[in-house]
Amino acid sequence: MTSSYIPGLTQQSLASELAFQLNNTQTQLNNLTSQLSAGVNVTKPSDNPTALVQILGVQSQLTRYTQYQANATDGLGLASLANSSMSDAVNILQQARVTLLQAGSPGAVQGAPGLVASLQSDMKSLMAIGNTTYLGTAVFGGTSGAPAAYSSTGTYLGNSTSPTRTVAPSYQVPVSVTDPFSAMLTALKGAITDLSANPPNTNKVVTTDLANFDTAFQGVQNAAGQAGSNVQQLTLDQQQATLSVQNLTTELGSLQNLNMAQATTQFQQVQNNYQIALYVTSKSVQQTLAQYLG
Amino acid sequence: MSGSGMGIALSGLDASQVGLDVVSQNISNANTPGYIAESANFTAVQDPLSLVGGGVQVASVSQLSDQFQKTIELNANAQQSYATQTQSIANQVMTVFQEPATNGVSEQLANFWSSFDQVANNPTNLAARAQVVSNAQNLANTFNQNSNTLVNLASATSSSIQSQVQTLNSELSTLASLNGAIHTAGTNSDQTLVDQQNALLDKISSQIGATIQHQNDGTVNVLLNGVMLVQGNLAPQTISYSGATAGATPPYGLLIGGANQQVPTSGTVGGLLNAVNTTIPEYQAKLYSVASSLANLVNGQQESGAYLVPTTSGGSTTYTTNSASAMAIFQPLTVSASGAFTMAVNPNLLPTSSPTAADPGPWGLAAAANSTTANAGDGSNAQTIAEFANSTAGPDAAWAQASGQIGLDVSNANAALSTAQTNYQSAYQSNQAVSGVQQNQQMVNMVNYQQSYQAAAKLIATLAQTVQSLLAAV
Repeated sequence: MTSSYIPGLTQQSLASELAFQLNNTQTQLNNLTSQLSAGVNVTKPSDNPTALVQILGVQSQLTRYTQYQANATDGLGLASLANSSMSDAVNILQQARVTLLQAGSPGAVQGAPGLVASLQSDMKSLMAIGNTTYLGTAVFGGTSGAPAAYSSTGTYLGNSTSPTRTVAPSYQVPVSVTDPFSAMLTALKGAITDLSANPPNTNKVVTTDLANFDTAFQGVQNAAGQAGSNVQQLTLDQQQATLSVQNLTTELGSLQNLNMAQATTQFQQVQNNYQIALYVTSKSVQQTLAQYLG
Repeated sequence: MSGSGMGIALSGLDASQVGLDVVSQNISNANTPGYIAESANFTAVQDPLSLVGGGVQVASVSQLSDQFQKTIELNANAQQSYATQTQSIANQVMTVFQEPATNGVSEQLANFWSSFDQVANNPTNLAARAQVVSNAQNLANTFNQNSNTLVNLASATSSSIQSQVQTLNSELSTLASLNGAIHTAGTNSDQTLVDQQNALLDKISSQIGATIQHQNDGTVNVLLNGVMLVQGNLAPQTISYSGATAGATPPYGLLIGGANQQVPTSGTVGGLLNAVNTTIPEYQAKLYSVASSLANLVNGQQESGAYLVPTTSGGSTTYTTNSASAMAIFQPLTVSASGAFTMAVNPNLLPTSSPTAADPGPWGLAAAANSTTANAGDGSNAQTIAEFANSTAGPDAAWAQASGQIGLDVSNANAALSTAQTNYQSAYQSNQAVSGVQQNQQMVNMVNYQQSYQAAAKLIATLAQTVQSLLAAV
């Protein structure tokens, strides 16, 4: 007699299969636990390699646009100071023009010292405005880095390159104007010299000096306009950068944030599967014929 | 009634006893690794002097093995071991490229670029400049740490290979001894020797995915890539790891007999060799590429600009732009014998209490464009560097690409492991179905042999009673 042997299930193969399936379910549970605890669906590169590259790209952009926003805010501080300084300068110069016009009125020769004093006061105020500083650097000195834009004699110490702020990719906006007062200081000096002459040359003051003043004043007004325009431009750019930051944050969220409802449901489902698998495994030492024999 | 009836019944008793012994052996070894279920083969005894025959005898006790199924299982096991190692190493490499992460390389790069914006906005602010230098140091430290992590991983992997090779040599030696014992015993070979042989083959195959050749005398030959490792009972070839040899260069492999290098493509050792030959060097190169890309890009722009030399006099500080010799931010990358690279910030840029033209500290950052006129407030060069953040071919993009690539590799390794595990399960189940111990089957056999034994005993009692009846009648 040869004992018959029918291929079939063995206890070892059953145990191996159960362990394999339990491990698979546990791995799924671990992945879901990791995602749920972090609140994001990509916690490591292997979770979603394509999404990861997108996430890193958007995160870099977000940091960049947040910096553009900060650059615009920083630039706005300087631009606003330049703008208000230029407005002050225009107001002072409007008074100075009235002073110059007074040189053409009767009795101006006798009143010349008063006019000179007034113009010198205006020039001094203008110099003070011209040497306005922002964080230790002259606002109207360009990129020279000089602590003062004008020397005590009115000589311009800066350069002609306006400082800029980068507020968008490869896009720089000027934040100030350079050397707005040299021509005006020269004109005022000329008028003061003519009024200080003996006798005062009031005729020249109301003709040549006034013409020079008006030309220089036009330049100052243009610079003031430019300073105002800078503020306007930086405000717009700041808003644009803020909008971009909001959009990128939303985009990052859509790429990264976990669909909590879906993940929680999935977690519950896998947990149920795992518990069932554990129960089945605990019962898997199945009864054999041995239980029923003698 | 023949007088040989007693002998015939006795042979039945003996045969049933062997059958029950086989069942006992099978049940006892139901969970023994490598054990193959046994079966008692009975044949009728022919007796030319008898019309009936001479009873039953146990012709042999054979193993229920199927070499084809076993070979499939061994191959699947070797593939599973390979996939397990590949996935494990890839996961460890991924820790170097761990993203998205707070203060990961991606974020550190973004912060590094942003700190240049701060310098550009206020070039004469020393704190902003010091922040750039600090961020550069952080990046250099992170790259150095990551490079060392990969070198340590390669070193640990090499140690693991050496340990595996040591075990393998011992196993091959034991296998050759078993072959000798099986060959000597011939057909009377103890089945336990074959079980031990099988258990060893499981281990060897799992380690290097060797080819197994079964011989007619019960011995086995073991080959790796066609090269004989064990032939019968001859002394096995000694295996060594080429990577352990001083001055060895990759690709590493296993030296058979000290000379013939073979690289297994499956098994644990195959997976580990793949890591030291391919995976780890590949990602070390990617890491180096990102670091050198960063250093070259930044240094190139830095060297085209002008830096400041501050002079303090009477409580006020003035700045002189120095464009003659703008210095690099990062030192040239150096690679050690171990393969780790070192990235360092130019020591002349590190904060100093008395900056000079040669050792300016953070003032050495060339924030300004090269110019013949005074431009200490110019941050255009720093601004250009800050804008490298947007480069699609810069270090940020290279880092994101490398992180995505390792993510993809791990994802593929996970899938490959899952497939290999499923294949192994299938092969294991198929082989177990043939050669494993099925309890129900053994119980049926037990009852069968028990009843045969009882019947034979009853027959002897009946024959004895019959003889007694005859003796009483005489």
